[in-house]
Amino acid sequence: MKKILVLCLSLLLATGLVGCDKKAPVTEGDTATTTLPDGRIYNGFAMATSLTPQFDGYSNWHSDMIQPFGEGTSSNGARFVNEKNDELLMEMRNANPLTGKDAYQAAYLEWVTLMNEELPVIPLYANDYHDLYNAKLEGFETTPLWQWPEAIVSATGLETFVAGNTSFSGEFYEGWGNSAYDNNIRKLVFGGTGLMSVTNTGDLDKNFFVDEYSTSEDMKTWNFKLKEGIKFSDGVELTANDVAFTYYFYSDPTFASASGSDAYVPINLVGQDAYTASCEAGACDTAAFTGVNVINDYEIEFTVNEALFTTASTDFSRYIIPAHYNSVDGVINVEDVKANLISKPIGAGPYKITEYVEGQFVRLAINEYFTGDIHGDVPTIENVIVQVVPDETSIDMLIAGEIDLLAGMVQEDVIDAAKADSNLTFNNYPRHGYGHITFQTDEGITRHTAIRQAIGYALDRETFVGLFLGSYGSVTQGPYSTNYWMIDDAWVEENLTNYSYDPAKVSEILEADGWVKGTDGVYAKDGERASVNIACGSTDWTDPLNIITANSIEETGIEFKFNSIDFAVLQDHYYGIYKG
Amino acid sequence: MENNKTNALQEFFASVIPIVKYILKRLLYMIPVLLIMSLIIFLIVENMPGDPIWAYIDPETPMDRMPDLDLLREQLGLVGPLHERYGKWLMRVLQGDLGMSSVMRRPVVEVLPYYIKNSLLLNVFAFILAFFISIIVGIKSAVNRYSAFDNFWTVFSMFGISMPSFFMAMLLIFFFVIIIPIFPFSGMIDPRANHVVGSLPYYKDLAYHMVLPVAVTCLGLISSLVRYVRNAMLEVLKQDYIRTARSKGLKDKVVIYRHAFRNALIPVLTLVGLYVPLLFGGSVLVEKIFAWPGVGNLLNTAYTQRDSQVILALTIFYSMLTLLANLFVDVSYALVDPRVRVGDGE
Repeated sequence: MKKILVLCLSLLLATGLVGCDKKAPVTEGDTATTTLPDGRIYNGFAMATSLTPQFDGYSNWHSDMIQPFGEGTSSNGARFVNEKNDELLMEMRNANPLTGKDAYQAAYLEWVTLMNEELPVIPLYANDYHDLYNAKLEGFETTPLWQWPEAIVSATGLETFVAGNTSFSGEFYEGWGNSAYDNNIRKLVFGGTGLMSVTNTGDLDKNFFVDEYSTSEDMKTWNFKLKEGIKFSDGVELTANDVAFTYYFYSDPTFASASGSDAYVPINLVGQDAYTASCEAGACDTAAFTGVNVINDYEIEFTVNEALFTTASTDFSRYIIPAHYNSVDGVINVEDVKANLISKPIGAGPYKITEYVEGQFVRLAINEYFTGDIHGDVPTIENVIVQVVPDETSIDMLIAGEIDLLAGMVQEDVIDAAKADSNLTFNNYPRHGYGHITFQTDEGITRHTAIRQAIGYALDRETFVGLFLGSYGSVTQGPYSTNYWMIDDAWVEENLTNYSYDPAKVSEILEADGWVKGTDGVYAKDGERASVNIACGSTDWTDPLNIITANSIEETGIEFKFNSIDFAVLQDHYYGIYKG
Repeated sequence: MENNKTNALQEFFASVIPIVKYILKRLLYMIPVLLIMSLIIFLIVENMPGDPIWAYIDPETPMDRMPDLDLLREQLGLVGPLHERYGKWLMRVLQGDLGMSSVMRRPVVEVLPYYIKNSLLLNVFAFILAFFISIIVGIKSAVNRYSAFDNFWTVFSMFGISMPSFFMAMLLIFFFVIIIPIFPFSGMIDPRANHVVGSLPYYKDLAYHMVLPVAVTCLGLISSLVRYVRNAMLEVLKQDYIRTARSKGLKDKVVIYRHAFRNALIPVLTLVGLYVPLLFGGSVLVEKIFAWPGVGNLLNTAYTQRDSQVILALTIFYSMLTLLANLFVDVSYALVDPRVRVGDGE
């Protein structure tokens, strides 16, 4: 009897398991859907991207940035190939950084318009960032391109200023880690980003220690004259030798192999390869580095391989590190710097590090030798402390006055709590970046522009933003940021299509392109069904997306499938290194 | 005289040698166990979805500025067939190289001690306090079973066990930081104060910052420990020899503390042993809420940011501690409880 019972039960269990298996076929009904090659699964990816301070479309959107799927990293994740796109990006890339601003802007706006029409990426939202801070702090004006470490220099009203921070890894040298929190400390210590730095309006200009700069006509030679008497926080003068040293340091082959370094050197200077080769041969030969030419203590000249609009920001925005502190008898030992100095750099910026306690805080004091930032401002706040605070209680700490600043807040409850407190105030600005769905434009259903446009009208993005972000967010129309000097809200309003939810428009676009609704209510053409499979990094994305597309087949004739997958797997797919 | 001495020595060795033998044998047994564990953990970490390379580079790095991914993979030991990689990894670990932390960008061996030290600091105080209170309260509860005192602690235990530690932490912060601001929110020391490390005010500040996290850890521990001690004590009080002791006319105190308590200690000792690994492992939630830079916090970051080498190192470390703690418990049984003899029979 018992045996029979056990047999029955195990049979039941087995059928249950088989049944389960049958219930969850991932590809059910996909027979008519266009299949993707190379083991690719998704037609698009929902994710967020931050933009760089200086726009560099070439690196992310040019067709040069595509490699065969599965064979290498493609930073053009949409795999977008369009002749006009390439042309405009090259026009921007090759614009003269000093005299070609208007041409650059015209090309940029045309490019944004093209992206808005072609829609390789459909923007979903931009956060409304809030910097919440102590109301006693005066003259504290922050923007995404002029953040608190820059703005604190001209602020007054406090003796000690404490910024709350989620974490930092203690790597206060450039070249290790991309943490924005570590970079805040770098900005305080080095002041601006190098020979060229961003101003409070987001423009690029000569940094505080540069007296004047000029370029040759072909833009390949850049000459910088340094101010005399600028000193590092240990009292040693900053000279052209330190500037040259910085370039030697980051071109040293030991930098590329030093533990955990970013291992790439985005410098495009003449002779850099020869210098690196001489180091590898045993003795670094600075004479071989012909692109770096120290003329005297206060003058240095650079020669670049290729003159680009972004040259000033990519090649001359490197924090200058002092030669005497980072070498022994003139010999560079990157591994030694990494091991012993990484958390206690010396710079010529407004503040110097006085104490760093791992996982807890960094304390900085005014650099007494500092004579003024890019706008000539000198800090008056004696001490700046950057403290690790837990997310759970950070807003309570701000209200209680334990910390003076929480930067870049997006959560509704946190922002509203701060707004309700009379001791606090805030600056807000749109995120310098955006959340989006990027489509695979080379293969699958989303290779059709009409489908991508139809999806634009089939997604209720306004509702999505409300569900995803609450009250502090907005809908954007393309891969741009209105924080850039090239573009503003009025232009966007006038020139870009706002894809707002409109089922009639979906039908209009698809039917004009020859798509017909099938028996299942989904548009189809030449055996392809309008069914898109989108990968998301978490259920935070899939939940609101599923809500706004719950009745999409009945209402718009497009079938949406949103899958929450591990973010690292999503990245494998997006950058085309996934091996199915 | 001489004979007596040698006899005593012989006896001592006779009693110690089996224990030493036993310990050595157990240590030998640990080797295959650890190997199997390391293999399992390695396989799990290896099979995390996605390319582990993303933990080392900024995903938004444009293609023309990407480092040489193949070179990086090779440096990080991510190339080659699985068994080969496991072999290489094992060899490195045996040589004391636990790999590179992708979050900290430092060797794991350099990262761990600081975080372990901080967790230990918090836990040693919490554990000592918790055991001390639990033993006193447990005995009193058992002796005065169903009294108001016992009932109070029973309710307290239930409350403490069912209350998640992060909720307890938030509750304490709410009452003792926000409503009545007597303790600090979080951290180990006040960065505004600028204390000299190692000075008296520094230690005072540290102690002040420890109160709440220690209290939360302690409350959680007491809740379960009190029940154990109470039950162990009740079990012993039922025994015949206690009745005999009582009927001999011994004072209550003598009966309880000399006869009953020592026997009740045995199960409690098991607990002490099993809690040892926890001493080194921080509580993820408590450390996170109090921004305490301990192992729990480190593990939390490692999990969320796929720091595979840190996860591997910490998991192996805990496995080893647990095995050692088990051994410690078994050996101490033999020392405390005359009924248990090691090395006999089998």
